[in-house]
Order: sequence, then C-alpha cells, then structure tokens
Amino acid sequence: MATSDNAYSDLIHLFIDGEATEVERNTLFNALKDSPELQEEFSSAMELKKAFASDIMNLQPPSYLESQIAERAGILVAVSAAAANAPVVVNAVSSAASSVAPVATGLLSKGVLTMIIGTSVGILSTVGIIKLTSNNTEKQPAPIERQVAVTQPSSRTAPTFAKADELTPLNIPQANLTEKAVATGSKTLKARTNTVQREHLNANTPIAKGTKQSIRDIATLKQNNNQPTLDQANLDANNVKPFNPSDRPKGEESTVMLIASATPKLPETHVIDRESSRLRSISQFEGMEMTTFEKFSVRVSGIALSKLYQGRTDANVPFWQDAQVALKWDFDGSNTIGAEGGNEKFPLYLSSGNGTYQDFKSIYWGGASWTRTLREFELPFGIRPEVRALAGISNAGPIFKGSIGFTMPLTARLSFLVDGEWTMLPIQSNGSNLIGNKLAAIAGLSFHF
Amino acid sequence: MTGLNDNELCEALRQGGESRELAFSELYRRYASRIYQYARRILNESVEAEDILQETFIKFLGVIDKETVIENVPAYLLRIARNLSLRTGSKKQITVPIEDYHSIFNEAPMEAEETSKILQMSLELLPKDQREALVLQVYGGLSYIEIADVMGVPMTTVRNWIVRAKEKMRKIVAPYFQGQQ
Repeated sequence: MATSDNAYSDLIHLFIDGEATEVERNTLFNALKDSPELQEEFSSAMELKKAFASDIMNLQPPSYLESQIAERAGILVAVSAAAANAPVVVNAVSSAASSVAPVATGLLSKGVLTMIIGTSVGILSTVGIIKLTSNNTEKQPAPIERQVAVTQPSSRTAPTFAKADELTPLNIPQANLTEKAVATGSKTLKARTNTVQREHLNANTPIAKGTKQSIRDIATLKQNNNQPTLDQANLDANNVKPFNPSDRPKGEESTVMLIASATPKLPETHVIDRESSRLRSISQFEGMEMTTFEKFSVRVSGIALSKLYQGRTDANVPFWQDAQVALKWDFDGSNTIGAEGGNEKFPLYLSSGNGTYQDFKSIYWGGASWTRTLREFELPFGIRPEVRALAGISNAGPIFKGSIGFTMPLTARLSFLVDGEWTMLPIQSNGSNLIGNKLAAIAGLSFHF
Repeated sequence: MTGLNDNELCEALRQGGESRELAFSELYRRYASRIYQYARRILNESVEAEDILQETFIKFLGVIDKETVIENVPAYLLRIARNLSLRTGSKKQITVPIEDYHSIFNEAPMEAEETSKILQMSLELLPKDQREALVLQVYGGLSYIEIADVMGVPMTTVRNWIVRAKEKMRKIVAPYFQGQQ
C-alpha cells in the first residue's frame, strides 16, 4: 500500500478528529501495522494536530473584551477574564474604602470644555499586574497571580469629566488598603475589572465601571495597612491554601491580585468620562472648539424695553435705560453666585416739591444673585438657557429680581447674554406703599477669568 | 453557573440581574476563545477578530432576549461569527506573498511563534471552503455534523473538505516539522 493513497490519508485525519467509524478505524489500524510510510504519515498528521493545539493556546482574546462586551450589553461582568483564564489558585484582593477626594471636574459638551473644581465621591478603577519572583528552589505547580488595581467610582454625583492632570498620582503603597481574598479557578473573581500589564497602566487602560459593586462576594479581611505585601495576600479564602512566596519554585513568576484605592496619574491628553468610567482621549474631540470657562466672570448688562406696573404705566420709557454690573463665581459649572449692582430709572410719578412731577426716579441697588445655567438643554452654538434670582437693597428699599434667558459663548472668555428680567421694589404713590413690578429686556456681555 | 448547561445559561441570561451577569460570564468563558480563534484564523487580523467576538456576543444576547430557543449554542455563536467574518472578509483580499511563503520554509526551524505564522499562511493557501470547514473544526471546536449545519452543506462534503484541507496542510508544514526534529 502506498502512503500516498488518499483513502488512508483520509482515514488518518478522520481518526484523529474522532470522526472515523469503527470499520474505518480497524481498516486504518490494519494498514498502519504493515506500512512504515503510513506510520510516518500518521505521525506527521499528529504533529499537525499538536501544532493546531499550540496555536489555539496562543490565540486568546484580550482580557478586556469581556467587560467591553458586557458594558455594551448592559451587563455587569462577574468574572475578570484574566482571572478566569489563568490557572490561578489564589487571588488576594485588597481594596480601600471609597474616599472623598477633591478633584478637578468639568463638563464637555458641544465643543465647550468647562473645567471647574468640585468634589468627587469615589475613586477610579483599573488593574495592573505585579510580577513577583520566588527565590525558593522547591518546585510547586500552581502559579499565583498578584495584581494591582484601583477601585471604581462609587457615586455619579460628580460632573461628567475629571481633569486628568489634577488627579493624584497612582501610588499603590500609599493607598489605604482593605485586604480581600478570593478563591479562583472554579470560583471566579467577582470583579468587573480589566486586567492589564502594569506597564500598560496608563491612559490606554480602559476603566470599567462597577468594580466596587462587583467585589461584593469576595471574602474580606480588613487589614488597614498602608502598604500591600505578599503576606497580606496570604488569606485562606474558601478553603484555598494560603499563598506563601517561600513555597514557590525558584524563578517562578507569581502574581496575586490586589485592589487598592488610588487615583491614577493620567496624562493631560485624557479625561475621564464619569458616565462610562472610561478614559477618553481629548483627541476624540478634535475639530471641536475647546473653550476653557474660568470660574470667575464679570457681567455688564444694559436694560431696555421695560414696563412698570403700579406706577406710571404710560410713561415714555427710554429704549436704553441703565446698566448693571455683576461679579460672579461659578462653583460647579452650572451654578453661579454673584454680587451685583446697578442703576435704573423707574417711570414713577415723583413729586418735585414745586407742584410738578418728575417722569422718572433713578435708583441704585446692590444685591446677591444665584444663576443656574441649564447645560442639559444646550442648544446649537453652545447657547444655554439660564435662570437667575437676586435679592438686594436699593435707595428705594428692598429689591428683588428674577430673570430667564440665554447665554452664548463668543470666544474662550467672552459670552453674550439676553434675559427677560422681572424686578420688584416698593414704591410710594400718593403716600401709600405699593409693590412695583417691572419687566425689562436685558442684553449684556460676560468676561470670564 | 459552571454546572449549568448552555440552555440553562441562556435561560439565566433572560432572567436579568445577577443571573444574567453570571450566565454571560460563564458563556463567555466557554466560547469566547473559540470565536476569537475562529475569527483570527479566518481573517488573519487581531483587531477584526476582536470586533467579530464583540459583535457575535452582542448579537447573540439580542437573540436570547427575544426568547429564541437555541439548540446548539457554540454552533449558533460560530454561525454568527462566520456571517460577520464573511462580511468583513469580503471587503479585503487575502493573499500570501509568495516570497513570504518561501522565506518561512527556507529558513532554519523556528520557535512556537513561527508555528502560528506558518499555520496561518498554510490556511490561506487552502481553497476557501476547505479553510472555512477546517477552521470551524479545529478552532471553533465543532463536529463535522455541526459544521455541515453552520455552512449549510451535506456532512459528506464537510468531511471531504476537512480531510483534504488537513492533508494539504500536513504536506505543507511537514518540512517544517522535520526541520524541527
């Protein structure tokens, strides 16, 4: 029989694939007994099978894909892909309680990046791996993983973005750790984390959300230590043998999972999208005008087209009356408090003492204001609605104002506003105290610094 | 969840909450590698293979949510992956430069990393149907009958394609293995 015989070649492959029938197997075995060439062909086919097996081992999907898919599908991932795939016996996990840390936060929308100082509850999340090598000479079979991670924001109260360069540097030893241990292998790590090499613990590391929530099933042992060590990771969780680095064979690379709280140092080219808890490169927003709105602003406005009630409603009100000035402080990107003052003419009957009346009364006023910018209703060209309330004092008595209008950025530091303003102040008419209400249109400019 | 069969996991996926989370993780653990390996060897592109893996699971989850009963989950997943790969693969021409092919075999025996490269190149020298069937069998882990179902051809055809493909590959890579010994 020739080894080139296609029939026997087919039988070899069918047999190796487990698809040969009993008759085919017997036929093949009988042929193999008497044919060294066929035996060689069989051996060669087995080499091919081994090569395929080797190839399969080398072709594994990146560990971050699982959480990416789960995130797209709206599923919280229960398994760290790396933990599930790796032959891990013990993962010791350290985690810190969420901390309240001041970070720079901001909002990015419609080409305008607003950087403001706020307070963020929670911390960021990513995972790295520290390779640890044992000096022991005894051979032990199972590898251990030690990974370094940073836990996840626990709150969505902060604005959408954190300014990367104001986050504190990642420093695991300084993190306030809570040790957690978990058995893996048959039991999987309940952590929605992406495992990445430590050297990749940088801006390209996707940060998955839900990490803090997902570690709920992990056995916890609070250590309150400030520095993670291998000893802290030697926790016997779920009857898994504790990890002892001295038991490890010499030269073995072992890794153990730690989760610690810290805020990683991120390059200035990235911001954190707090909605998806992912790093985003600012380059994603190329082509969009990026305007930095400062926290302070000066606003100068003019008043026009007013009408007074409870007064001389038929007065000939000048189109452009008076002005108001405000110094404002934007404390979270949406809410602004300010000190305002102005001079306005009111069309009142005012006795001049000689039997005649003046058409207008001019007053000076000052007060404190609160302005809310409604970013969620932003219109094209960055036009945003805003509402404002003011309480103050004038030389005619207390004064209250309320306005609603729109503001639109003109340049990085300059914005234009138009408001409809309602003013209430007490007036005297024929000796009686009345409440005067005035409606006016306002236009102005804000300079931000 | 590791003790549940695929159908029970699909049911758990529909339940939502933690069950959905755990069921997804288990199904991913079982089949993600197969899909990825299949896509890698069909498309010879890691980024596209990642996309195929993502899209396959997204589509699969969408199907599950529609209460569709799936009898053979891995075959179903690979069917999705195959359709996606065909769509992706049709947009590009797979070629093996002759000089690259020869350079592999003219050089000294290489390490495991090169084995992978040789297998990929050898696969690309196969007729499309043979390659498809072989990759589904070797990397997708499907049986001949499952491959026949996925590809929509008789099982005898699949059987012929696979043994032909393996024999061709064996002959292609044999010099490499001999060089290693």
